[in-house]
Amino acid sequence: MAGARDRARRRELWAKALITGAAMAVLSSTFLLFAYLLWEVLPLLRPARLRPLETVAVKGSVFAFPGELPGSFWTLSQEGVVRVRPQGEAVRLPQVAPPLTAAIADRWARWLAVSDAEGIKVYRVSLRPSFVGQERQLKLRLSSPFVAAATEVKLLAVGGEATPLVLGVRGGVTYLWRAQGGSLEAVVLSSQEGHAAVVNEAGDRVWLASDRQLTVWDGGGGRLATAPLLAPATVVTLLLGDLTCLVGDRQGNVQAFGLFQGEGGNFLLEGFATFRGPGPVLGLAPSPRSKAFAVLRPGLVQVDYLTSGKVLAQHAVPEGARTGLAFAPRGERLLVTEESGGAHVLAADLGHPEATLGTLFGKVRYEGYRNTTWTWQSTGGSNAFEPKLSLVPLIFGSFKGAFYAMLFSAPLAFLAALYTSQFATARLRQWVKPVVELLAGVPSVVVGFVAALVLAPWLSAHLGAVLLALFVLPVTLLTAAWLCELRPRPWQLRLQERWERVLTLGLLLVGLGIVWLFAPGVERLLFPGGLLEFLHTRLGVSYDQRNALVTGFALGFAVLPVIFTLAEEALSNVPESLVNAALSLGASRARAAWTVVVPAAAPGLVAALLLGFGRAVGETMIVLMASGNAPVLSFSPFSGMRTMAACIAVELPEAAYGETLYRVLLLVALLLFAFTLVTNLLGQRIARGLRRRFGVAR
Amino acid sequence: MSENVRFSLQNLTCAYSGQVVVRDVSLDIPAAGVTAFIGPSGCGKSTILRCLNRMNDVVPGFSLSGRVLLDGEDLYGDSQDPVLIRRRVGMVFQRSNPFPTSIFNNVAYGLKLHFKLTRAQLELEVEQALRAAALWDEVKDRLQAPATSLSGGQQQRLCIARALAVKPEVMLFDEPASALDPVATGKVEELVMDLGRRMTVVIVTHNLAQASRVADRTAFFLRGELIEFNRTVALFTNPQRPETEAYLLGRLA
Repeated sequence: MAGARDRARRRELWAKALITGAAMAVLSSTFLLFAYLLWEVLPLLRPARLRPLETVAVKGSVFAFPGELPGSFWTLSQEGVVRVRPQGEAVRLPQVAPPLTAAIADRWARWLAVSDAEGIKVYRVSLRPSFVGQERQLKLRLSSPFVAAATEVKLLAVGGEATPLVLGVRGGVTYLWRAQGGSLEAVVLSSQEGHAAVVNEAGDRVWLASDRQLTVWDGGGGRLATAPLLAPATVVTLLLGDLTCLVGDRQGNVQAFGLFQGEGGNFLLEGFATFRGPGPVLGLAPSPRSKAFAVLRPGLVQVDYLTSGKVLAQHAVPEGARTGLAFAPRGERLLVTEESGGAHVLAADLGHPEATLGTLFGKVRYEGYRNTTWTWQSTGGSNAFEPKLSLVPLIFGSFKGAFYAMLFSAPLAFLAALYTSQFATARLRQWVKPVVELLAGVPSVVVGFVAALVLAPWLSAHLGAVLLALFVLPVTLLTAAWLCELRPRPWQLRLQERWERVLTLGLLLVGLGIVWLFAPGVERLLFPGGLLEFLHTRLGVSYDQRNALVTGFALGFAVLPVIFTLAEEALSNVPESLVNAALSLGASRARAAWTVVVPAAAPGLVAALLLGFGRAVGETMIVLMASGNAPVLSFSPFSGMRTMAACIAVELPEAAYGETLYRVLLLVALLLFAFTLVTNLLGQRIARGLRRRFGVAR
Repeated sequence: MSENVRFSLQNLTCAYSGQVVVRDVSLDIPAAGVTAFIGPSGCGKSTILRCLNRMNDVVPGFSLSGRVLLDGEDLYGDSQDPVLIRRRVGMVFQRSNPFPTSIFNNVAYGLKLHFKLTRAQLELEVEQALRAAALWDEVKDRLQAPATSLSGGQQQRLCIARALAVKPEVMLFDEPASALDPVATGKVEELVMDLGRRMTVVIVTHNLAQASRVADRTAFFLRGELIEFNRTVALFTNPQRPETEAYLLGRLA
């Protein structure tokens, strides 16, 4: 007897432990999911850092540039010998006539121009890692030089694509040398003395800064545009992508300029940002990975980010560092060379400068844009593309989709729930409820597929008919209701339900028939060129085939069962005794439903709407297929959207682990998670409050 | 006698989905005083009560034959609107069922439904109804409080006030005190008797003592049939039928 009781107690304990364990597991997995997302997102906040790696003596060299392999760089000595470190391969420049008086390279060190005893020689440099046995080494290749017999030239810039362009100053005049066969031909670019210049990668734009102005020329020496400068320029460079020109000056300003094509094809040079700092700008180096750039000022190197305008990191360097500043080809190291022959290698960890609070949520002016925008455009065609990671279009898209879904589903679900719970016979209710709940089981991919491939083309072909139906069907429904009231009284008791249904359905069919028959004629009459044409030319509304209407309909289809089920439950749970009380006071059934049941169930209805909204915001497959996925910021029902959920689905598989896009997508996931969690908790809380409210009365 | 009859039931037979629960009942309920329906559970007394204001209409499968006359009019006649009937015949249910809103709004509900009143008129009518239900003094300071904050007895009197507010000619009570404690029951009974002096009151009760206290006339039902209908004193002291006597002596479950 005692043994049996013990067993029972032990069983109870086990059951309790099991249930508690399961509940804890659910809770902790939710928490873990949250923690994981947070863990992946938090590195976005990691600050950029410049850290000294080593200082190397490069005595007697006229030029130094970092290489692609870790710790590697190459130098050029006055004797014209290129040394690749750390392996120590030494190659003499072909046909060089030492000593060298000057050497310059383009931003990525693909062209090297030297000034030797005979004149100017320009080499194509290729320094690529390749395997030597088991080891990866940098392999140096130098072309035979393009030669110009011009001595005593102050070299300003070299660059170009297949053949080089060289800029230099001789006798106060700025020349441009262009390749003609193996030699370089000079043209006078400007009678003024240029201080600094840069040539773009395509070799068709030359940016030249003199005392007080910045001028852009095309590759043939034609002048395109000019803009004034704040102070005499010291350094000029182009950011990755060649859209923005940075001009550093003697007063420490770094001005950013963009070249825009105005109406009529003329060019405009616009300064759109200025970065200030102490002391003259001695060097500028664009990052080969992003829109970040390094600025060298006396005693200080810092890295700024163009789009956000922020100083990412800074680091002190010796005062004498004044000749060279360059990023390694992968952007992970920064080389600062001193005139005295020391080279400081800094590890440059730039963090995630594209994703700041300002760029994620604020309006940003991107490179090449003339206005600030909220733009989501995470990937582009080239390496130079700057990811535009504004979450605003995605959040907007999610809410737009959910809004249109609710616009379609909420009234329908609410009225259906009201009818089913208050007016339908028990037999009809037994049919309707499972059928609507069955809708919830339709795989969303099927709904999305039908919406995108059947509904969307159909809607664009029959938009006029649908809009007409939106007007005609409510009218026929009201007519049906009016006719129901007109019937002879005796029917009221017995044939009520069936007759109302037959009459209503019949009239709806008649209404649809009217729409079907007359819509084409009405459309032709009102809009001779077709409705879409009218929308486009007269109202300036563009019609996307996959738009908010299609999405709202399809998404509403998925959300409707959720709202219906919860609303029906809330309405049915209003105690019958309250309805009886209202009826006994002389309210009609409809009045009782409207004035007693609906207010009493209001918290439950709100909860149903909230949970439906949460579902609509989180739904992925349908919007992925039906919404067109264009991250536009338009509330028009005829334009599409990109929602947070669909964006994650589309882009996460393409995002490299750990990169900014990956982390930003997980941030989107975190936002989505937080939002649905909050709506669900709120909805459940309200629903629970409702149950407590009727605890007494029921 | 005829002009004093409020309800006249003539061969009333009721069924739910074909199952007969009230069989061939004929009964005249006088306009003055309180009439009680007694009988064991399932005897059909509540069904008959609900025929008096057509509250059975909303029950699925309900059917009726015979006639129910209110002041000589057939309640189930073709031209009758149940909504109007229910306004004339108020009802209070077994369990108090205040709307989940304020005390004031509960009483005002029926008024707002039927009359267009100014705020001041509404307040006056609500006060009168609450006074008539002997609840005014207890709630006058907290009219905006939720109705569910009242005690069970107060809630039931609030329901009475709510029914009285639309000025019915008849009040039906369906075991109004069955869920209340003795003190609250006493107050409701007092109220029922008080109302009986001013209007027709019909009360269904399973509590014989209650029937003997409040009712001027009592009808005894058994298995859907009317066994005996008489002045309460006569029925209780000198039952004419053996079934009545057996029930009164507690020998009939």
